Amino acid sequence: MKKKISFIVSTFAILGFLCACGTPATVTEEIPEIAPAAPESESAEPVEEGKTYNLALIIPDMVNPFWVYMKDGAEVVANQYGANIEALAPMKPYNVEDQIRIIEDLVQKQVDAIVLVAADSNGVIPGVEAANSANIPVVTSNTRVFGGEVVTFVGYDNVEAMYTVAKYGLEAINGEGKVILLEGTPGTQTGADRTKGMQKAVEEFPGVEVLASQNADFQRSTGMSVMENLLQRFDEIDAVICANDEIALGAIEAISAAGREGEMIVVGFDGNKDAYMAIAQGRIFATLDQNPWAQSGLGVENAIKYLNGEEIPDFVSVDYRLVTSENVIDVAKERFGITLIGQ
Amino acid sequence: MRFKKIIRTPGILFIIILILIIGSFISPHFLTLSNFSKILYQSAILLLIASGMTLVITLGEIDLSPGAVLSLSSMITALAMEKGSSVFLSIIVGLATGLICGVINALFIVKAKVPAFITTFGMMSMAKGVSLGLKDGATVRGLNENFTNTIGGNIGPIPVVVLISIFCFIILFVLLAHGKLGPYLFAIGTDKEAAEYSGINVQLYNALPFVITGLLAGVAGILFTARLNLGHPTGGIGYEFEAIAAVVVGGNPLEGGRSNMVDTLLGVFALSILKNSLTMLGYPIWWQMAISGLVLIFALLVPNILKYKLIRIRLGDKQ
Amino acid sequence: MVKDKGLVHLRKQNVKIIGLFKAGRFIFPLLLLIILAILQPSFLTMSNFVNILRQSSILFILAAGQTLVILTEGIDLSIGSIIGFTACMAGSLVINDGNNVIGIFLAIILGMLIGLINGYIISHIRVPAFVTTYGMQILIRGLTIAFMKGDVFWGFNDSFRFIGAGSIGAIPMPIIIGVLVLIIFYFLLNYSTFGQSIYYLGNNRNATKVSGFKIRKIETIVYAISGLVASIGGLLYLSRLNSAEASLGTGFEMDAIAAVVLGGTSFFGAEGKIENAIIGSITITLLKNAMNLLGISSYWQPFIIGLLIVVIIANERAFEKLRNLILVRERVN
Repeated sequence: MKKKISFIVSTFAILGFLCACGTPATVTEEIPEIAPAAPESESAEPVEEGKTYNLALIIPDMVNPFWVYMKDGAEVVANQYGANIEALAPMKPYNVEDQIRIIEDLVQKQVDAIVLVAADSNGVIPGVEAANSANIPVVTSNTRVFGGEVVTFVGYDNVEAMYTVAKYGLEAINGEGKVILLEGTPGTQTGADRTKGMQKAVEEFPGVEVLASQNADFQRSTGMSVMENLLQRFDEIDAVICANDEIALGAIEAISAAGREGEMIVVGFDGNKDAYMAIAQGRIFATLDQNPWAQSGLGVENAIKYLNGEEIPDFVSVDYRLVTSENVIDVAKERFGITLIGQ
Repeated sequence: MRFKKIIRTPGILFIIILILIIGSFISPHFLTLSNFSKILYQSAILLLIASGMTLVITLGEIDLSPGAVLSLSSMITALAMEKGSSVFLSIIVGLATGLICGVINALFIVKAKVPAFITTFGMMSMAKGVSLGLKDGATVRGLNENFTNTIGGNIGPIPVVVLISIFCFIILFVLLAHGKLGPYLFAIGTDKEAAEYSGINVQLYNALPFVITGLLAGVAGILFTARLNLGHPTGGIGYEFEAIAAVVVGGNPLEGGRSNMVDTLLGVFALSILKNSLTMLGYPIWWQMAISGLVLIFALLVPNILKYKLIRIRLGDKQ
Repeated sequence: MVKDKGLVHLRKQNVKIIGLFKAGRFIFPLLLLIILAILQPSFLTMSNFVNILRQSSILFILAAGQTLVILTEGIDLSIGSIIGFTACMAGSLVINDGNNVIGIFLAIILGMLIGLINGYIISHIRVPAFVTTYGMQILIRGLTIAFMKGDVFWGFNDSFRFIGAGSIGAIPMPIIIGVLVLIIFYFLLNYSTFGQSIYYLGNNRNATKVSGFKIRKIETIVYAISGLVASIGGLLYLSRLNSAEASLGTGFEMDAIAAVVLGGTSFFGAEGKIENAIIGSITITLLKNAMNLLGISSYWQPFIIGLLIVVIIANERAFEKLRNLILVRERVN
């Protein structure tokens, strides 16, 4: 038996050696990474208080880089204020019930404030209400919550933002052609809002025909497999509009595997590092930089200010901007401290 | 029998006590009445599904569909309310959804002789597809306020969700421990052919656990809807595995033939306090996952090692 | 449940008829092919066939390992997480050091090690496979997320990409590796004592033990192989996706299990062949491809897959009943 296993192993070992021959090729050059750019809100001086606050940040998932950026941003700001922060996420990604459970547990733990990125704007309300009844302030960030009492909302309008970037993409194909929409995970607020934004943009151009609108789960792997099948199905595609950069990055992999690069433009959303590199390479057309660090950082800052008894506005706006091949180098440098060298 | 019982129970009790001790060290808020009532509230839905699953596992089978059926029932209940039907009718519709899914499972398993794993795997996929397709993946809002107030409310200090869950659990407990159901299921789980020869209506008793699990998934869907205050197309996914884990970690053998509802209750309780204490601990999600996985494996590993050691000592170590 | 599947000698003329019944599971994919060819001209292209084969070969590799496990009456729910873990480890080595060989080796060895741990706990300590591998699934996924901490390794060198995305001549690499796995598994199952002992083990555990097989060792190795091929499948997938993320491979175990059972391998062990996994994985890929080509909403797709799984197996069971009827009549004569 041992012979058999060693046979299998060695077979693949030989294969591995075969594959190892070849020269590595990279289009982009990267200087050593520095810490992510801190949010713009840094100007606030550390507040010395008699008590260190215990805060909690709840995000929908810890695999997608975007949410991890939010976690980093929250930690940076919390450190500046000398507050403790713990970042929690449901074990099942984007699970609202788990988020409610986490809030309930945090209420039992009696944290001072909760910064919440809801997986679903409505579904999480019972959790917010649980926090309200225990007098724990809740600051929402990135995703609005449609009920309960929240201190403030830090973020932007997902529908409008997706509309902006989708419209930019559609204008680039002169407002006519065949378009594919790749949506985010069903049952999540972000997903639903972005689909709405895409549709809003599409409706504005009568010349645009939507070939398909499919779910790609906010994931790179799903984005790739869905795109593979769509490429097989449609001979002519002019634009692919994706609900986030992960989907877009999967889609471009499928497109280049099919040898159809340059035939269509791919538009993403979020502004993660790989997407910037892809834009510099000319593989993704545009994305949206929405500054996740500031979203959570301002959330934490406002929570602390609220605990200190300061007045907080109902809505703290975080700016977003389009990222295209023109400004990608600057944005990437500002956000990630990396230098991209385009094609 | 007594010997077996003694070595079987400590596994889960040991874990519960361990979590309780560690938990009380981590946070002063862990060992409080209010925290435990919250844990009870959080585990209500899992308890429902796990109780049904116990019956299925007694047969030596597995039901993979309750998580998806839960979501479907949640969607249909919410949709019925959105369309303006009364609370009572919506609840009936939700229950019927679960029941129908259970009956379909049972028919395929008993009549068409499709293995339970495949049937329920298919049902899981089907229920998921329907609940996503009904509203293109969106959630359903606009529930009737009476619904939220009754099912989502309290009777005295106890949430209705908990009452319903415990009520169902007690019924199943009595059925399994004191009715005909228990011995029949044990017999079928041990040896189907022998059970048939001894005159048990094997088809009926093979079907019942799946029907009951379906119905309970329907009930769980309604409770889920009340808890979230909306119908969710994917919210229940994963519950089936958690339920199976709870049943088995509690000490019920996966190969069937023997089961105890109290063990299931302990299993559900252990998993729930584990989750609660991990959140209290505030560890990042990856350590939480790693610890959960380890606990699942060790819950059976340690007692099994002990058991084999003991048996070996008894038999004079022949291996 | 009677476990002994006794051999029945048949008369020659009826073997043919029974062979036809056994082909029941072939009929469905063929039917699907014909319907598609009529409805969608773009389906009948060479590139689409290659596409289907390429997609199904990765699924097949995973299903092959799962077949062994299911033949011993077990189940391996951890392969999705093993894929994620090993792929991320390999990805980090390839990206950071540019060292393909070590990355690939590490992935394969890690996959096998995790499988070995699974196997040891299942066979020696007798923790049910379902719980062990479910616990391992959560545990390994947690470790993967801890290792990645939100990072994504992206943009591998061309030689690494060759394994999954390249092709030799007109044949994509995944298909070549898939065929290799098929050949190895075919000989393993049909022409080795180890393969025989897997069937014995699935058929009757105690009898196998009594007849002198080291059942614990066999079972441990089976899970190790499952982990090993999972990591190979994961590497292919990684190379094709061109990026390693912590959620890679989530849910793949269910696809693999579906492919195995759809191919007709019995869930009660001992009944089934490696060829079944090919049929199963091609059917599933074909089905997904068909639904996409026909433009069926991705929300309704799980419904159709679930329905077909149940219907195909029910249909097969009906065929089996008929077959048994014929066998009985044959015996009476």
